[in-house]
Amino acid sequence: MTKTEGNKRRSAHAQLEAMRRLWPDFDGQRKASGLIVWRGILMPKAKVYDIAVFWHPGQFSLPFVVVIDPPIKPRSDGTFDEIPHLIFDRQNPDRSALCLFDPEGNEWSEADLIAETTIYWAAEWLAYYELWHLTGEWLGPSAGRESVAQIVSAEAKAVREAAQDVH
Amino acid sequence: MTHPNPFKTTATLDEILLDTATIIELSPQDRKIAENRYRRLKTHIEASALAPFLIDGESLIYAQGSIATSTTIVRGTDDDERFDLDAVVEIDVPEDWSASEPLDRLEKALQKFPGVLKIIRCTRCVQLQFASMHMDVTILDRRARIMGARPGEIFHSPDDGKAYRVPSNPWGFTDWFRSKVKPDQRQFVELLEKRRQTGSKSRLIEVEGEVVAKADQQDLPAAIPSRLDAQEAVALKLLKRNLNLHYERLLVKQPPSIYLTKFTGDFGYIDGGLSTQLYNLALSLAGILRGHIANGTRPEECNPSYSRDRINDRWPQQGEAGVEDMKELAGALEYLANRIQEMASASLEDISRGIDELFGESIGKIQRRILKERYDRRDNVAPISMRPRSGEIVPPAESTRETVREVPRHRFHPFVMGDDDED
Repeated sequence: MTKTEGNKRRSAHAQLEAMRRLWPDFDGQRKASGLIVWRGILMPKAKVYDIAVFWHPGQFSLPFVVVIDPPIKPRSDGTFDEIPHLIFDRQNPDRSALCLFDPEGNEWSEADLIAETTIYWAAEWLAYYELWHLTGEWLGPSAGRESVAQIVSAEAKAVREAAQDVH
Repeated sequence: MTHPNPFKTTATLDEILLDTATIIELSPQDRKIAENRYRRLKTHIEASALAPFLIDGESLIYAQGSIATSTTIVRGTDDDERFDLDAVVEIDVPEDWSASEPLDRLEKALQKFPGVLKIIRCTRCVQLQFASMHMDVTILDRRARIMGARPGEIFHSPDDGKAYRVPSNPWGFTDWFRSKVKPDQRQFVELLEKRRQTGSKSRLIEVEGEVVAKADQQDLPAAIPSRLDAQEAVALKLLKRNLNLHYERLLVKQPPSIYLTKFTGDFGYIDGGLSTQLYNLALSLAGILRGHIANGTRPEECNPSYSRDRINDRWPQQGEAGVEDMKELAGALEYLANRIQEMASASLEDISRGIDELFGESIGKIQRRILKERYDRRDNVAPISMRPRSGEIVPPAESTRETVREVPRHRFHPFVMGDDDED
């Protein structure tokens, strides 16, 4: 991971330029609002994925990666909130962004190049997502609980235990 | 919508097929046990009543068939973990012996072979049956000393009907096949060796371990040819495995392995990976068979090292039955090719279903375990790498000559959009 001296924020130009250099098949556009959107194809394991990356320097705390096509889906008989490591969007679960690093682990900052971090992690996420569909287990490196369903389940359990103490 | 594959890669299917091949082949341990069987065969024959007929007083005994071309695979069904090996014993057959006498004498000579459970006299060989291995021993008469790579005659001796001699040259065929595969497939060989370290399944050691322990104590030259780690040979193993499963359910006659081996040698190397090799191998052979069916002809393959040796003299059968034989094989090969093509762009789940279907559920189950172990990084910090452009994941500890980039270390982590409280 390359960082500038003193953890200085990377400019939009630097992010666009790095993406052009390292991921030439991705198309990057900077909107008038300052939002940068990249679209590109990855094939980390068996399937080809069309993904979009959203980054707004100074506005977003992290880059958002969304799988456009084929859209993410739960395992058969499962639910969207069981898909591991999402920034879970309850309104549009199949458009949930991928949660690619541990915010408490200082694994990413605006001093990092998306081309050198986020895209790698997105490809890795997609590979482990395919393996999860196959095995039912998330085999990649994780911090904390794996899915929102697990978080909710753990919270529900904690509430039940707390409620028992009240009685 | 499914995106076309702009990277023109079948890396994942290649990876899974290579795993599958390492599971169905002889493991290094199994090869040692097989090697020992050949050595025992030599000493046993030299101490038998056949000894006076051995050439120059010493038996020349060698591997033939799939063990010699390095394409031996587990026999077939999920319950049948047997390997079949073939051996040739060269002798000078006296002129006054009938065509059935060599096999009769061989059968007697092989009595009390160490570890054998049953001895069966077959039409062209004597079969030694061990717990998890069958060895077909064939007599080759080289008395005529025909020029070439050890050509001679074997003996066709059925229970009913007249016995006769059949021109044969297994030694020459092995040499020919091994010379036909593309040399210097270094990257493929390295990858295959790595896969063997995780994928090999030793089947013989469990029941025949004592034999190999003794074999290890002897420093003797190899009795079976070295492994032939070529893409063509690996594709042939997969094709043979698929056909074994296909024919297991049928009453029609299966094509001889040597016919498939001959075609594989003729067909040669295909650039583009193991999936591409297997796909084209199957489809091309099917096309040739369809051509014969349309033209009213039949394949008549000769041993390239000895043209009198007709390698598919018993398949397909004559007449209409032979047409049905060819249709059955062509259909099976076309189905295999179509499934491989589908799997080349399928999800991991669908590829796994295909592996179960094409190569057997027990093999598929082992393959999934291997794949899981290869990528499981929950309890270790092994770095993972990625190929540029496609973002293809390169498994941990699987070095490659290609340019790869290491993925920066991190940990995945979930939360709910809009929630302040993260896990």
